[in-house]
Amino acid sequence: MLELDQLFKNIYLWGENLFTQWGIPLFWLELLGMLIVAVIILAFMSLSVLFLVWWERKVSGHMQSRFGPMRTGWHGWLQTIIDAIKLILKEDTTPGTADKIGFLIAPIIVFVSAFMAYICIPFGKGLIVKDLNIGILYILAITTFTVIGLLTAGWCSNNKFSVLGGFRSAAQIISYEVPLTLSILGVVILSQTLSMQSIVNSQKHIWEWYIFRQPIGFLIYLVAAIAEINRVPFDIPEAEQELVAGFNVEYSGIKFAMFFFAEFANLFLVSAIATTLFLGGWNGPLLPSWIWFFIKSFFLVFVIMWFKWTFPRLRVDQLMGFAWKFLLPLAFINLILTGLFA
Amino acid sequence: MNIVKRTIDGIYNLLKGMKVTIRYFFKPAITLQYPKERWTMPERSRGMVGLLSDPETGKLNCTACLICMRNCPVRAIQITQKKDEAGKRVPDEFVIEAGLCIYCGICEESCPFNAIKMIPKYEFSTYDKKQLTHKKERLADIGKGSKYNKWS
Amino acid sequence: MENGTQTAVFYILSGLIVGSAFMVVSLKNIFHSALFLVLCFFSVAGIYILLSAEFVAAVQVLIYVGAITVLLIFAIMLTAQLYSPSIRQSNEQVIPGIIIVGTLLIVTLSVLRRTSWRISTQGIEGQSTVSIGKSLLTTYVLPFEVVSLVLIAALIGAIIIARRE
Repeated sequence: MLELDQLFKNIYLWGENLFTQWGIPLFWLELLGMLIVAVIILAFMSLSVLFLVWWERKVSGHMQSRFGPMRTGWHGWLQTIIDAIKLILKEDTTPGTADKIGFLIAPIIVFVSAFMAYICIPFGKGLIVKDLNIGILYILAITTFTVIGLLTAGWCSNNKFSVLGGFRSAAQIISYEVPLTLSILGVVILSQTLSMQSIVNSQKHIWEWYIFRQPIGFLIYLVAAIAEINRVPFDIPEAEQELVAGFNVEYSGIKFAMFFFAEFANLFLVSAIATTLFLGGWNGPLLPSWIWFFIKSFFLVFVIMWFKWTFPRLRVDQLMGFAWKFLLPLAFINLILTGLFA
Repeated sequence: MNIVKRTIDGIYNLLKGMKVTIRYFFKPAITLQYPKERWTMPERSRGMVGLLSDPETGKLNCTACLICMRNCPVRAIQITQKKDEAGKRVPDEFVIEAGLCIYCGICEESCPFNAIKMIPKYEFSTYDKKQLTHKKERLADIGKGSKYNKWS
Repeated sequence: MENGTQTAVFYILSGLIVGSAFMVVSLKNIFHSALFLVLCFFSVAGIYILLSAEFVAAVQVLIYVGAITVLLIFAIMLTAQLYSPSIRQSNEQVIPGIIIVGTLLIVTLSVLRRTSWRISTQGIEGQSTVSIGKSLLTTYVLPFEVVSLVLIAALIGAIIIARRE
């Protein structure tokens, strides 16, 4: 079978042999391994982001009876690569009145928090960088840094639209984090573990998938997650029609590219978490486990894009009211029911 | 139980919207890939102005009566007359400023000899404004192959 | 992990904590102070991980970085005339301050020296998350419930204050 975990294990064993032959302490091998894994994850993220941006444009195009990008390569598959090169080569400007340091570190914070969360995603059988025993809690914790980054970006741009966008995104993310966490708690109660691999292992057969035992939890998770990553219908932080572009008004060039990158990396992250928690992760017949994982994740990504090109944007008060008055009580009811019948 | 009913109604309506978008997702796109694909213009659409000529002799139908020139609301047409060997009146110079033309079609309607016509051709943008001054030869070239249509 | 690496990581994290905490109180720009506070909290979470208390570390990041600092930044952003000269960083009452802080330092140091610290050589058995959950709902169930009651009271109080009509 095409399982990749044996491959990585063999590479590691080969490296161990080599290092013991040369008489270098294994500590350095660990360090080198960490570096290589980080590079692999970064490369994977870049590839998936490039693909997702193209896919998003194609989906939006076809849903509006258009084609989307068509000119560069077959059906425009080179388009995002060219866009990325253009963004990287573009002049990197900083507004004169901006807070220089904050303006610089804001995209880095957002980018790094998206990157660090990928450590705990089980891409396949044994394909996880580090199976922490607090897995899902770690992801929830590390992604909260996004708020700090967005607030910093909004504040340090010294622009009224940016500040409003930062405010809105912070309020929204904090509000929707509560139902998000509560919906995940239902799964945690059922599986009795926080580790991602154990959660996947507890849903081997299709009737054990938590989407069937936690349908309300899945819906709450999906809605709250879309709000967490600032996508339509919850994209008021960067509502183009009212705030120009929200917190990233002043950004251009590579800093803007980092925000954009983080946004799409988070889109995939959210789908991957939903796959792991509710759709059985990498479990599936016939095909290798990692292919199953990508099929499920990209299907969820497609669903989220489908939402984006169907629904109109919510108003600010509707958004907050929906979180606190509807999703939160529903999540609590779901949690209580799960606790009673688990 | 109002909230339950409203929730179910809301989800139903959202799903209805999603049904519409997914149907359009699988429908073929209506976009025309313009330089590769072109739309055939309808016979009576008003495009470039051209001069019609007799298909047998190849001579212009125009008799330089100046009616179109007088009727043109933006004065885009300039004609000078001359006599040919047979003593017939023909246009010496026939100039249409395509940049001035407003595609009203009055020249075509007023012409008593079926000599001038709005041809369903487009794409005559140039890098140089001078090339928008269409001379007699160019106009005859544009009108080549077009027939006079009674109803247009 | 080797012992030497652990010690090195401990000193790096401690340096980060002390340095960023110092920056929090000494920086002129209050927004930068808030950002250094984030760094400080994050380094504390690193110390927790070093003590193999991952759950506490995650909760530290989740609550202190994700909620409390964001609240602080909100407060900073909503403050009118943040950069006006009327907001002073230094205190005029230097002598009482020195006396109070010095007393506090002496008291803390003497307590630290007199306490006999028990040093455990073995780590926590099993997952710390499980043991924390079990002890919260068995041994410490009363404090746990009291804390939740206090939090609910605070929540209701906040709503009542905000809804003054």
